[in-house]
Amino acid sequence: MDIKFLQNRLGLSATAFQYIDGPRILQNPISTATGYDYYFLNALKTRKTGYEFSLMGTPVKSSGFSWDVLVNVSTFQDRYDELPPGQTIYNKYFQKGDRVDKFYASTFVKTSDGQIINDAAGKPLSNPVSRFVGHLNSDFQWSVFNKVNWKGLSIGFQFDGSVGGVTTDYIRNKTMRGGRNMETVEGALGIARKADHDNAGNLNFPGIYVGEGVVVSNNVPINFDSRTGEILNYKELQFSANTMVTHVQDYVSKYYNISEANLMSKTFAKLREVTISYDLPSRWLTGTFISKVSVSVVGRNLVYFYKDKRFKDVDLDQYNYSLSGTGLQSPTTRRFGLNFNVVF
Amino acid sequence: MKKLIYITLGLAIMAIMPACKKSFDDLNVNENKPTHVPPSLLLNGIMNAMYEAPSGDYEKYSQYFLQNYDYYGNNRYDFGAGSNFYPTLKNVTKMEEEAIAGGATAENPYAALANFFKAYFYTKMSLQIGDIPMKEAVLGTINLTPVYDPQKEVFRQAFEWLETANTQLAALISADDLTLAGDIYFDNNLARWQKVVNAYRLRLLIHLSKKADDADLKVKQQFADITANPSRYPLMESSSDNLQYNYIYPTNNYPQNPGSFGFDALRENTSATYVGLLTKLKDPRVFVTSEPAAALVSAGISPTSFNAFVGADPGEDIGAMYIKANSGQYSLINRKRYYDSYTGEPGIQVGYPEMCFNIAEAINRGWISKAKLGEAESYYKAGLMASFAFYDIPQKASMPVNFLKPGASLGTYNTYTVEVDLENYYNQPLVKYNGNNSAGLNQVLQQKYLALFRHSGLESYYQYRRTGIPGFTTGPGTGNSGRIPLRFQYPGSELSSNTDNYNAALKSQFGGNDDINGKMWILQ
Repeated sequence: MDIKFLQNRLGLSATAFQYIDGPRILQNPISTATGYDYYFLNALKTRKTGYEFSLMGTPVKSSGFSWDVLVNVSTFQDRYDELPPGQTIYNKYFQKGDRVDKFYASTFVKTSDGQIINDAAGKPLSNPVSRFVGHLNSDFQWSVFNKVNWKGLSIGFQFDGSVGGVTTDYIRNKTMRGGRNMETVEGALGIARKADHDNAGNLNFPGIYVGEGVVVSNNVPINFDSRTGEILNYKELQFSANTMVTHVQDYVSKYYNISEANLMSKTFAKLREVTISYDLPSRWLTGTFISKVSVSVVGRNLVYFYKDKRFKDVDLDQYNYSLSGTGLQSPTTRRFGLNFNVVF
Repeated sequence: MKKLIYITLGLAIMAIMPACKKSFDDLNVNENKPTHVPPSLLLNGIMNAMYEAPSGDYEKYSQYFLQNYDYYGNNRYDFGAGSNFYPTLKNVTKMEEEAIAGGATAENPYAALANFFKAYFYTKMSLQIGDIPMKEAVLGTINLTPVYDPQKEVFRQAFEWLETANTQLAALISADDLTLAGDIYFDNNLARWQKVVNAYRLRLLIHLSKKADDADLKVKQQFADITANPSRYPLMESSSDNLQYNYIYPTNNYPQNPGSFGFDALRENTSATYVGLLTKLKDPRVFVTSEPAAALVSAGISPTSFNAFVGADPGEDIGAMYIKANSGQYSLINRKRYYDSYTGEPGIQVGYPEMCFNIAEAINRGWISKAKLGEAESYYKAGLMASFAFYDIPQKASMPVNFLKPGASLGTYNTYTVEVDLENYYNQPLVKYNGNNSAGLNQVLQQKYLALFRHSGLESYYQYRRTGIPGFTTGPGTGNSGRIPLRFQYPGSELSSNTDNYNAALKSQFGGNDDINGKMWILQ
């Protein structure tokens, strides 16, 4: 749908799409008791629904000055539409109508008010069942493009970004567990790490780090639901603050081995491009064989905005799809260019 | 005339054109892919699938040795899905078919061994998990949602299979049948397989000690029938009858070897459950399977003193264990024996010592009063001596022992001599058989645990689960809120692809939860 108003000063473009994927050639896991692990069959449909809006406008337009704006927002969701015949559950967690990018990962065990439950040694417990921690795709993506013209000078800049969605930071997992992350020498961890180092070889030194959260204080074993990971006997458990001291190495190795500790939001924004260009006034060129000269400076990937600085080293722009973990990456480089354009 | 020629020509072309009746599938047959194989090839694959190697999680679950560095593993009892032997069972059925297709009669050695394998694999899975699909299993696409059979039914059927296997093997042996090929364990000797079949049946009967009075399974009766009739049910007579996997360099290396030494050797240490029991009994096996704790030796304790051998408490927090292990406070497994070669020691799957202890247990429990070798003590002693012989420990002599020189690389050992006198060892009150009472049973089970070090997969864990002997310890290091779990879970695909049967099985056994702490039928 395309609508334009006010002599093309305001334009609106909207797109909606929906398509059904499948049935695909599916390698469907079957009961291992059949003697086989998979059965290839034509099954599984997914339905992708998406919307995209663009708003184009020229708020100011006078002789010698104009300002153009383009705003774009897009979003889509992919959901299971038809499961393999005879199945009400697919791939352990999914039911008909569920988004295909639901992310199930290892999580801490927490109290109802969100505190981490530790074992008797003060190390965080990992839930034996993977739990839903978010969607891997972002909720929507946006971009804003501005262009201002004033006589021969024009400045354009593009902001864009995405909102929502999660993934896990692999580099954070490895650098924290391996002691290469800055945070392992900062704050309480840093002090405790130094103390561990100073007391290396001293068997009577139990460490000084005390992990966050609580411990079960009444010795009741925790029972988990094998499907949801809920604590079945939560009412019987009593908690007290964790006071156990530990060594840093073992604590971070356990803590950051749990996906939830490395879970990061996929919300980010980027000043993707700024262009400044100048057309030399044509009167300077009258009488020469040159008809037009323009000079422009272009900068790309200038500023990256991310709320949580712990995850700022990940360039999310490169993981703009459903992915449960980041990997080794080369950061997108900041680039500058100078264009010199002569027309004869 | 011309017309006639055309018509004739047309008919002739139609006549010689091939009939296009071949289906898509027929046209896509891969001629290079065999549709039949000799049964011996399948047998070979099955035999390689049936052994349990040391050095995996099973040894940690049996509390023999432990990991001390969390980055590469831990000692937690986070049981996931149990073993999946169904693909192997599919080959067992195929092997039977191929033997018949190859011209064998219904009574052939492959058919006899197939009965044993079925009993072996189904009970292995059931011991881990509980109720499992059996009657409707291994049918491929004919039945994609097999119903679960109760554990009791699995055992009943297994005893039937083993009985048939024994009868068939006896007939084949007396007919001097030599058609078996591809046997990596006994070089196609059926008489030795027959002993394994019966020894395995005794093991299964012992697993049912809590169901000894079950009217359908007649556990005691079966045990008595087998042990009272050696000509009909031949049993193992020495360790040379062991069903054991011999490691071969360079194709089938022992899991611990010079290649893995640098990576594993310091990240694993022995457990107090094992080493503590050995030193408590002043057992010379400790010198062969373990090494003294380096820090204790440098503090002046003699490396050949039992006090120098200390294992870690499996329940200890792994972070604390790491610090202590790295400062030499704990014994490591003997690196001369387990790391110096690529062949290590044979991995016993069903062994003579275990069989002796099983018979001793049955006599102790009063299932039978005696068997071929005599009363409980005879079997207890026979199992004990067979285990010592496995480690080449002499009856009475000086025994050289080797421990890796502290800080040295593999191959440099300190050699000491230890005076061994097994008669003295046996006459200790803690060791000498106490009689058919609970103290005696405790001794039998302890010695069986020591004899099964690095052998027979989960047998030691099952023994603890069934009897509580020897006492396993728990703590933050073992996870599961300080409990030793009682079972493994069903494979993940059951929930998605066999939902109704899976839910029904969980409901009838464990209140609907696939709970690793749920109590399966044989433990009730």
